[in-house]
Amino acid sequence: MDLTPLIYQFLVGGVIFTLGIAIPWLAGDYSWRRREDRLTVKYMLAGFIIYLAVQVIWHCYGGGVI
Amino acid sequence: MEGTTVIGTRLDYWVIIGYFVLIFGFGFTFARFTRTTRDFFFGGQRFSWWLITFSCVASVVGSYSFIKYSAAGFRYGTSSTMAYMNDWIVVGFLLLGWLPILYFNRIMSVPEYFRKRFDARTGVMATIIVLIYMVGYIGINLYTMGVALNAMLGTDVVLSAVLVAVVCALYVTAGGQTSVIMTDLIQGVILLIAGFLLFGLGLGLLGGWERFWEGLPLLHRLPFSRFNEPHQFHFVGIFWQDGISNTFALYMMNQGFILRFLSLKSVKEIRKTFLSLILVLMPLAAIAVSNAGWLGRSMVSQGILPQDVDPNQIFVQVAGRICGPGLFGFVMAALSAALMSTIDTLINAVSAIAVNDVYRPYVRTGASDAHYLRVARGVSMSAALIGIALVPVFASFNSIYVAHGSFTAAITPAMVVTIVLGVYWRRYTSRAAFWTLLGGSIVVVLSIVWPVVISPLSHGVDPAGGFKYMRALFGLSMSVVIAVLVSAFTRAKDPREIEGLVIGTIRSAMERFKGGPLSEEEGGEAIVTILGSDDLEGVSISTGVAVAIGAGNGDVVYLSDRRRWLGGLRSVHATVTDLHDDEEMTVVVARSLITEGSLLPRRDQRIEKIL
Repeated sequence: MDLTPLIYQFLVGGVIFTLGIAIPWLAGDYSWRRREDRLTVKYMLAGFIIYLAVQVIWHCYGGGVI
Repeated sequence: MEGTTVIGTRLDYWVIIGYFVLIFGFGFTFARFTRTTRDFFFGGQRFSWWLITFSCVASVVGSYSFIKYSAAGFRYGTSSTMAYMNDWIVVGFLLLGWLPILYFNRIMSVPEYFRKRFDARTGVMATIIVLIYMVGYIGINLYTMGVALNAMLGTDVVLSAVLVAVVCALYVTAGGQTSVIMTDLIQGVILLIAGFLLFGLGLGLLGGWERFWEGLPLLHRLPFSRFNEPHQFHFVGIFWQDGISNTFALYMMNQGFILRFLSLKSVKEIRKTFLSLILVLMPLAAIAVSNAGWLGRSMVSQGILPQDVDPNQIFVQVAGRICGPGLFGFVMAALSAALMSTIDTLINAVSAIAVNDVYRPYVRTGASDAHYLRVARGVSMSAALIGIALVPVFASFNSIYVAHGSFTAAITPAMVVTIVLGVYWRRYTSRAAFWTLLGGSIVVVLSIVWPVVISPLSHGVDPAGGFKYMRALFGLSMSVVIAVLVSAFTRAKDPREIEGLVIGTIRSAMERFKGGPLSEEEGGEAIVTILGSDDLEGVSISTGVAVAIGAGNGDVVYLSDRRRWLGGLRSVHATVTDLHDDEEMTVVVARSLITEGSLLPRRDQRIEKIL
């Protein structure tokens, strides 16, 4: 089972995703103290984890591991 | 049904005709909500997230999506979903950078952003590129719809395209963005239902999930294709072309989506819309548009379909095999829905660019809004006609997927880099932006003539295919190089000139949007009774309302009909200009705002603080 695409997607995609969140935070465009901003970032991170989990499970199921 | 080519009964034709009539009438119903160019292009900036989310799905899924992804699903399996499953990568750039900047600066388009962030000539260059991008999209959608209807009804491809284009153009011309959003809401629901109905019935025909799954080769069961082979469909190429370049382009430079996001009532709603879109509806849409191909592959394995079935016809063939009379018509109506919802968005978007970025600044400035509205309607019809004229051009390509990929890969990387660096790099100069657009596009065209230049970034992909998918990475990389080199030798704008337009200054844009300092108090909402007044410019809220929603003088509030299912159709933004001493939940509203928002004063309203 070739995991290269999965790793590449979440490594390279993960770097771009992280930059998209980190740069505005470092620049002060959103704040962890504001509820609306906090919820948005939490949902983004949760989305990343859900996508990763679903595609790992799918990979394993499709490959006959589970 | 016997055979694989007998498709479409009289009942199916009536279902499709009935669907066209329904959408046409529904679109026209909302024409009365369009009185100004702001209504025509942005639907009055008043809608709720759920309404826009479904309409966005309909716009993302074009008619080519069913054909293209079913063909990819048939050839390569469930990895056909890859292009829809990586939008999460760009979410931070959109929700924390690009969209708030557009919204709070009241910027209507990419060319307008470029005029403000850089200079006029960069804006003109962007106008040209965006118009080519969108008009081309209209053409490719019309062509694929023509192909689908040709397979089903035997009608001429161009004639089918004309029929669909005329229906869309008429209701867009009448109702603008509001008609687009409302029809797309219905079409989004229909195409998801039809896609899953097809999947469910297909599983039933095949004998259940296990039989279906067994019918797929091992590689067809995985979420990703092979890393760099075959050259026609490989992970790394799809990642850079669809996942990065096209996703950034779709949400950042596609004027249709910009207008859709700006039609929402607040940035908070934009965030809700995009998150629900990428986390829930896009994965569902990926399954809806691809599953006919997976079913087709399993049917071939089980001998239900012949080995030599044409992948480009697999959607229509599978639907014809699975669905009975009437139901097949419904599925074809969904295909039409996918097309119409994309076409109407693009027609409205082309009109917005033509009026706001060409006609208003360069042809006739200072005319009345009614004049610009008439021009916008004229341009809408013209955009549909140009799209029709492009159908024979796209018909000359062998593969729809390749045609679409070549088209987008050629023009989008330079634009994507210019937008991203424009927002995220203050040192990025106006000259550099211009040369990124021009040079980046030229370099991509050169790479089509001499694909060998892409080799260093090819990730080991076989050069036999001309590196079609890797061209996006090449274009992005070269555009960044041009941007950095030219910026190094030219002078950046004074930071005060780009205040509010770049990252780190969004708070300034928010203050400009509001017209005063921001309130740190968290906002709330309340149900209120409204009273009309001719003596006010904004709204006067009672002290009871002020306490309930945490608002005061100068704050921006949003008044809407309390019935949430209207999605903001009857609503308006207003500034609090006065507070009156009253514990009752009352709001006095300028009559002009009541008319603008189509509010019904006898009904209770919902008020919430926006800023």
